[in-house]
Amino acid sequence: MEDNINNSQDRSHLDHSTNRSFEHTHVPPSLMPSVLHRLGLAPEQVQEEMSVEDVIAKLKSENWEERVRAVRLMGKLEGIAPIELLESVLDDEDGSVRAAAVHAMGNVGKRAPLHRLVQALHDSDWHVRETAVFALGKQGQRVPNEVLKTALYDTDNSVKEAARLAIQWHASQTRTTATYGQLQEKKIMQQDSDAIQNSREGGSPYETMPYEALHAYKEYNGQAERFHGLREQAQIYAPQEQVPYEYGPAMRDGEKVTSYSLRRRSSKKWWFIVPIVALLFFVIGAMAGISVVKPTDAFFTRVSQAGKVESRPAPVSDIMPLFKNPQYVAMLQNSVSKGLGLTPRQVIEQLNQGKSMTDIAAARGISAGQLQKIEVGAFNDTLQAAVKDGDLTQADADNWLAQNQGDPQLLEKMTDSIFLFPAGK
Amino acid sequence: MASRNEQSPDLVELLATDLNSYFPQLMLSYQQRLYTFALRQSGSPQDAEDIVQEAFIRAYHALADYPAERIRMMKLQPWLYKITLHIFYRQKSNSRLQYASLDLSEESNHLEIEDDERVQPEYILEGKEDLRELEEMIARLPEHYRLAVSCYYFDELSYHEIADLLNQPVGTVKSNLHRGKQLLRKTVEAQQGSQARS
Repeated sequence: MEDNINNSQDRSHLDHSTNRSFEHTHVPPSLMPSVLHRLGLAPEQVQEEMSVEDVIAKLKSENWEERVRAVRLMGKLEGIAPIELLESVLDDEDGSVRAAAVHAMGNVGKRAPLHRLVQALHDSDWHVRETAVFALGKQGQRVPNEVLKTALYDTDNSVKEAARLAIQWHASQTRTTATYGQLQEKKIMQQDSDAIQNSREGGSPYETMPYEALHAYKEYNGQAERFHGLREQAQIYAPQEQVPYEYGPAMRDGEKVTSYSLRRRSSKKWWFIVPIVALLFFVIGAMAGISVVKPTDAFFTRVSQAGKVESRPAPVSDIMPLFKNPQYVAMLQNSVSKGLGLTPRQVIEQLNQGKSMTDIAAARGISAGQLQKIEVGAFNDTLQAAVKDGDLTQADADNWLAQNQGDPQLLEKMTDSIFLFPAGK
Repeated sequence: MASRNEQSPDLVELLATDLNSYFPQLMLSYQQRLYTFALRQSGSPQDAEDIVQEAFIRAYHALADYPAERIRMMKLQPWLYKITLHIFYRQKSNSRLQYASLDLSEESNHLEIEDDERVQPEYILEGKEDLRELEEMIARLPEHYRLAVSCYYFDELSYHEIADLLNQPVGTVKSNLHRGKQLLRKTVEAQQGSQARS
């Protein structure tokens, strides 16, 4: 029966009706002039100038269109846009206003509060999430690729498309940085080190902005050639350490996400305090019955809309809606368990004992590389089943595998989550 | 005949280059389709105009903030429909508009009807040439069926575009389309039966 619906000829039965049905529906002549007037695009309209005070006052207007306009005007201030005001607008009740604020914050350079942009990835409005992906994508190496990858599992396709684009930017920026960095290393070695040192101590507001972010910023705003000179060249190439990231209000405004972890790995000699403090926390935590979050869960740590960092891992269905369907959860669990020579229940029991998937595999004589193959195979089988059922496009399945099959850490975390938190239980 | 939802490749390029100058062209290209879509969902010309005005304004602000690369990749019609539908949902929840739904109490019986092409509703209605009646019947379908039927048959969106628009799996879209069509067919049959009796 469904074949009748699928048949294109079937749709053509209605074409005749449809075309004529449009004849009796006339667009009100007032529609287009009203829209253009409300947008200030009507031919007779002249762009009015507003003082900063007026713009700030408009942020509190009851009309969402006035608030959007005010936010966008503030965004045009770029380098001197008041971050606090923009941040306050992130809680606006209207999605377009919040999106405009996210966009404006993405353009303020190193002052962009990354934790608020990451938080916006969880907004209820798809357009705000989409804008947040672009805003984060413009931050270059300040934002690790993994953050952008999480948006690939958004429920909304526009957000996914934005994530793909932002990841492409990120990849091209990384390549540019590496090449540029190698060139600059040679150049710097030939230059007077004192001159370089002086340039590092210069007063440019963009001095800590990595080259790739600066490049994206300049290109995006059409302001190329604005920031030149030895000063920026001398400090732009610094290899970034790939470490687990944590996002939260504790991050300083404008700070690189990567530097948060790096700061904690400072080579200063107070490191010996760390195990003592950790032991102290462990004892207090055990006494108070506080559960310790496994490091593997850190990837799924989310910033709640209330601004709190949730220590509980996100159910995998949140980031990959396909797994809302228990059929696919069971399929993946069975496939991975079979590869390990265990039952799904046995895997869950061992994960609940605090073992990682790698530990479980190792105990079965399975190497990390073999485990990765098992996980990739299980995901591939499940995605193909979903494609066959019409719940996923082949392109999405291929894209997911292409993006993630080479990332054993992500695969393991997702597999863990599918066993332990399949549907937010 | 070219499908109505084919967009001019130049338009996205023009919008990416100079939004203010070419936004009126976007409106001219899509206002008819958006207005009809909104009218089918809301059933009220005034509501439809309000919804479409707001949709275009929100679309403008979104385009103004999109990177040019993103605009060039856009499929404008599904994207505009998505914005429009979200506004309709919000307006509906605000005003708590009530729609008369087709009686679903015997829905299970409806679904048992065989798909005999001879009694497809569009065949029957084509004979009657009563298009308003067809639209009215579609407008009275439960929302999840109405959207699927309307988007597929009237707006010529693909299954995947509808799935994206409604944030549903493709399988659900196909199922809703199938059930919506069967419900329409049952309604047409019931009307014909009552006309024959009178």
